[in-house]
Amino acid sequence: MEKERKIVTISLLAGISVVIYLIESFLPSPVPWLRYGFSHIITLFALLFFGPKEALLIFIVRTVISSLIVGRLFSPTFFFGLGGGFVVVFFMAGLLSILDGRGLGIVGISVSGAWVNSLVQMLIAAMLFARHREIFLLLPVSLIFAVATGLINGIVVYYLNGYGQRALGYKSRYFPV
Amino acid sequence: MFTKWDKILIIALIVASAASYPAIRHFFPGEKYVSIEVLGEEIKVVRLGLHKEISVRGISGESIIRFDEFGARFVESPSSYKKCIGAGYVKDVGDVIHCEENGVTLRVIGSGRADRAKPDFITR
Repeated sequence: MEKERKIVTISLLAGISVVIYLIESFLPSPVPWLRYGFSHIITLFALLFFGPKEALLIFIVRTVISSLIVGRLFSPTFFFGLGGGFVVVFFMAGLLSILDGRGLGIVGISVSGAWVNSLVQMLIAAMLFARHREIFLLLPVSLIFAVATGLINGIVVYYLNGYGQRALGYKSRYFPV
Repeated sequence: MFTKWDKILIIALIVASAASYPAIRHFFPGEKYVSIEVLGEEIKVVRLGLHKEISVRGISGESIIRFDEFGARFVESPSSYKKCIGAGYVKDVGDVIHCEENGVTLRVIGSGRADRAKPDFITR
């Protein structure tokens, strides 16, 4: 019964993640290829309550389905998102596992994940698609932007962490209330 | 909501992000080009760093411009005192040599926007 509940919750999280991604794709972007990354709220939430394997699964399902819907499957932005996402899931999972709730809080984990994600995406863009200096000149803007979006994501996940434990009855692995 | 380390990390990341701009400008300098003009009209643009010689016909004869790893300079000029040759290399964006007697100008421009500076040398 517990297994089925977990499967249903993960499926719902993947669905919510796709919806967030789709809504986000309608928002104007200040820099080409730059995305807000609000769907990483769900990735971080899944990391806190389930673990890296489940978070990665949700991330892959979300990336493939939403890219398919918006017509970006196998486009440069798809690869940026996929590469950056893989790294960020493992990075945040590593941080959570090493720190184990000490030092950095949820917001700190989220901000550092968003920053690393942005850095990796820009490196992928520079290595695979455009080796122009101008690409690198976008990096400071996208990194500062990542701090801002990571902050928003972190605050949302901070409240979801309490909600997940009280309302859903799941136990947060690193930040129990 | 924010731990002490969260606040430190956020400030450090903002500083690192802002500091990346001068670092990128330093480690990825833009390509430079030399615009060759005769009587103010651009006749050729050559990338700096190439090894080549270009002959340009000005109003009083042939000027020869040499490009090498140090920049670009006049090596032959029909002008009376050969001061174009004595002016040496142009290599940085904004460097300009204008050989007035032959009407030939060398102007270093960047890859992004062309910096149209005033001449560093006007030689007769």
